[in-house]
Amino acid sequence: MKLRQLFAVGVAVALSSSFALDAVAGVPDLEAWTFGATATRIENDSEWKTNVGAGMGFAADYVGSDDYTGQAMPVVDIEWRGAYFLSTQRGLGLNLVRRRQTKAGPRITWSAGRDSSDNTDLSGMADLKSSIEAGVFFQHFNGPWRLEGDLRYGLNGSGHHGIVGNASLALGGRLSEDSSLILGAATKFASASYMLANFGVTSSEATSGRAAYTPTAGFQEFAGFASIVYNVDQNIYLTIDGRGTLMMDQAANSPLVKASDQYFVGTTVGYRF
Amino acid sequence: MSEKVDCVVVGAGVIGLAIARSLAKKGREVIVLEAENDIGTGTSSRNSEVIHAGIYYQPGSLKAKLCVQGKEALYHYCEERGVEHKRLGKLIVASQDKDLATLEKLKRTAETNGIPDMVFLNGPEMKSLEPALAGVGALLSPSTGIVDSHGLMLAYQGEAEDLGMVIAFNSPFQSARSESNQFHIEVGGDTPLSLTANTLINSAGLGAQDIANNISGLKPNHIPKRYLLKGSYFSMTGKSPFTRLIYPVPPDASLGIHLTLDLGGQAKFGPDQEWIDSIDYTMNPSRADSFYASVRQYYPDLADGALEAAYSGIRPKIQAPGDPVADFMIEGPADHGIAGLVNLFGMESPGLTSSLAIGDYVCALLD
Repeated sequence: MKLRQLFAVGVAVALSSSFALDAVAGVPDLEAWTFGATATRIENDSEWKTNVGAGMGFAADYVGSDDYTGQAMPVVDIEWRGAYFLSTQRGLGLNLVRRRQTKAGPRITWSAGRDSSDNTDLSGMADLKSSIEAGVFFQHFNGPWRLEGDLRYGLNGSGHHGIVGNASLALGGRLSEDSSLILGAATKFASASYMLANFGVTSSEATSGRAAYTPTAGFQEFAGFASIVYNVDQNIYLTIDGRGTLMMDQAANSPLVKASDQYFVGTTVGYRF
Repeated sequence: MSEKVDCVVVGAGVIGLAIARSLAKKGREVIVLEAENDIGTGTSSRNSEVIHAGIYYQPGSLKAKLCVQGKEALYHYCEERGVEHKRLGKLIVASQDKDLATLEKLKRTAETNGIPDMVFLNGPEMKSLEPALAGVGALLSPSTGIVDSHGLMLAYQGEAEDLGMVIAFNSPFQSARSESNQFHIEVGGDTPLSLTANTLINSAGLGAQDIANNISGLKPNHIPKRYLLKGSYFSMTGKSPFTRLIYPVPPDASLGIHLTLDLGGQAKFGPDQEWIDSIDYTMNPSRADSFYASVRQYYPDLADGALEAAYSGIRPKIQAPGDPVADFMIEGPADHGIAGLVNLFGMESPGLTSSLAIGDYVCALLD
């Protein structure tokens, strides 16, 4: 069996197991965590551009937890004619604006929920269901700079049912012929509904160790991130990703937040074609 | 078909877990039936988290005896097991001269209950310990403290599980009948089952009367009426002005609107008293309005708007509003005549402090 075929089988096996783990772990920040894996695209004339990979990351049990566990990170990103895409990172969407340096359009994304069983600090909290989100995104490249942003609205009332916006600015550069480094900063702003769903504590959930809490809208976090992408060859790549996040006032003051500084480190191996 | 077990404990609150631990340490096989999906979801997680010294209780009562025994056992257990706790001390404050006689009476009661270390402080001595405190004198209780109640329950659970205890979550007790010195127990939930047990412990807290009413053969005079007394807590914004727990001289059957600290040092006031007809933890923020006047008797610098709704708890009372405070009601076979059955009713404060002693007491009732 050729190396590439063997690699594809290995990724398929990893993906199948990592999706199972993902369903258990409820990866909340997959798009941010696998920034390196989706930062570059293969240049070819094909109508289809595909990126498949799998990785593992070490992240907080839930946003605000001070307990960390390994989490699976699948990468499946398929784009057709530079227009339509289906991706574990980007969701289902359309590059309505598709210029060489700018892309923008609508997309549907999925936001992982949170189970009270995820961590003992969530004991007695109602489960937060996962949310289907409708939103818009944009990306703009200018030389080594990449500016990205999105706005999402939670559609299902059992999920967060709020509005959340992300923005990031990244700078990429070559470390060597086969590797590059990306450094960036990001922020997230959320509506009161989103904050309440993720960081609020109702009277029924309030206990001796967890007072009732009603957050308002605001900046949820500021983050810095770095990714190293190593191209094994034209198709196979390896990334190492890290992210440090500082949660802000309305989120950080929640009784659910045990550590307002959150960290992530992970690695991904993938195949682009 | 019925599964055979040795002991069934109904309720995975702090007292149920302590009893399960005590039984498991004696080599008994224990299953805990818990209706909810986690331990300690009721009164055990909605209280002041105070380790009480045993000052207030009627000498010779179960509350007095089990609190004093349980207190030292609890401190020792927490140190041994790494459960977060602090022996902060408490001041019972006399706001007016007429309250000083009550302090003297409390000191005598404490000494009768086996607490010799209470110290009477005059006004200046009190203020030297707590400058923000207003009053004419205070009683210092050095052995009062605070504990992480959830951490304590996890420790009980872990120790008992190491000894073979099993907790069945989402498994509400439905009924039991005693036949040939064994209990035939029906359990509901998503996967109903039948159990046969030698011993049945009803430690269901707010649900204890419902459980007892479904144990056939148990006479009604051994099932006290349940009353629900809700208490709301309000946290104080900003840094706590005190480093000890502050209690006013008890105005009535309650302990008054007192100030406790959590393990992070944040101050909270409460609980107040609100008789209710059904279990409802919803907080009414306007209840804080009545706190300000009470608290300002000992903490006059409490700023307007400084109180924020924190949480509420419900005391499982077995005395009617206006009646004298009842003792713990823990009845074994010698009381009601049913072999292997222990019922626990009215397990309000100092239930948490007394939990280890209650575990041993229940085991002794079964011997």
